[in-house]
Amino acid sequence: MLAAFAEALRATWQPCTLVLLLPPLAAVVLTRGRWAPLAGTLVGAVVGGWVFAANVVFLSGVRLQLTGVLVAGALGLLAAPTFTSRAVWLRSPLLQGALAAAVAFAAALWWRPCVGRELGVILSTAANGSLGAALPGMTAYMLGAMAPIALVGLALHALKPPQRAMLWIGGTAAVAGLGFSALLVADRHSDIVSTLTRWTL
Amino acid sequence: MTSSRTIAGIGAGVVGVAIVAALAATGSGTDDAPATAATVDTPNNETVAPAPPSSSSLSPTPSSAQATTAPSIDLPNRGVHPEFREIDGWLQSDVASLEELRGKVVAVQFWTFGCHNCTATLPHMQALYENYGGDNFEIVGIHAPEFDWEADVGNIENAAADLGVTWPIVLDTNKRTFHYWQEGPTGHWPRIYLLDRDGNIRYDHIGEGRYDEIDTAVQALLAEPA
Repeated sequence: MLAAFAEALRATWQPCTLVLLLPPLAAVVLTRGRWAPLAGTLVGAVVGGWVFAANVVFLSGVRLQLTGVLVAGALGLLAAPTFTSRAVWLRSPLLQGALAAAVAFAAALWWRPCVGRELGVILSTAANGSLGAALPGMTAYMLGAMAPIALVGLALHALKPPQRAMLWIGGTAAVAGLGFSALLVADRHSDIVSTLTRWTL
Repeated sequence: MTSSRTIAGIGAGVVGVAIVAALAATGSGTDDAPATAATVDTPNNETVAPAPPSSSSLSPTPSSAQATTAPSIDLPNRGVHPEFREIDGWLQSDVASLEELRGKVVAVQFWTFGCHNCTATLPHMQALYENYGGDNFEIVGIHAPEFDWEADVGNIENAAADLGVTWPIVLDTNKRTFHYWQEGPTGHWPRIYLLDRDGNIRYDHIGEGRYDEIDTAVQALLAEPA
């Protein structure tokens, strides 16, 4: 379990993990690390990881584009309270938690993972029909992948950046998250991953 | 509000320590690095049912091409391998189909040269080839590119030379075989299947690692009667 957690941590710098991390990171930053969206992100990522391990669904083509639109919408709703005081109702913990969970869940389904030793064993076990036996390892792996995001969220929560700084931080997160979602909708995100992969060779 | 911030601060500290501790406890090397997964819109329903044997059932033995007793490992028969689908030819090969390799134990590895995890397995594959290659054992690398620049045959040939891949390579440019062999909508690189002398899939592993287990499985298959 610890090895799976650590392998996921080490995989976070790799291009193939970008799609798993960027949208949830944007969601957590946009909500300033509030508890509900942070918890929703972790739950969404773990459940998404389980579905990924089950290998019964993967979003591509039109379905990928459609979820890209939905995730962009979810990130827009999460971003709104940062930029306008009229959207108070969007600060509802339940709503933000659900939106963040949906973003992380979708990201896990878009994910084309880096299959190291530990993830390889997890996926091999799941492929053998022992999905239940694979879930603890997959949970540890997804929590490892999300650990840096949790750290960022908790740091934002604790440090409480001033509004002016938050506008910049939130603006950057919104541009990154929405921009990446737009690339998914345009089915061009693999170009970025391809370029980054080639650089790292 | 303040207590919430305090808890978040403590939480950040705990998560930070957990990250450092996990990396320290397991080593921070990158040799486990990435491989990737590919997907198709519609899952195939073919018969490959991957199943790595339980590590608890293993008793790895030293590498030896002359092994005469079967090492202890459970290698269930998963049936004859699927056929190749719409491949674009072979490189570095005197054969043009897996059927021509009947009578040999065959390691079929799905890989692509831009995949870090795939290249990380190559030293082990080279060791397998050196130890067992010949009349009884063959490796077939099915090159299934993830990105366009990995599909160029010249790039594949150059990469094979640079990486020391001397065994036969199947060009699976459109990944038809890649997805046909691997159940479900997601396929993975690297993935190794071991075929017995009759072409049955007897072992399957996704990702890096399990090198001792793979070695043991090869020995066990070689020790089976022809």
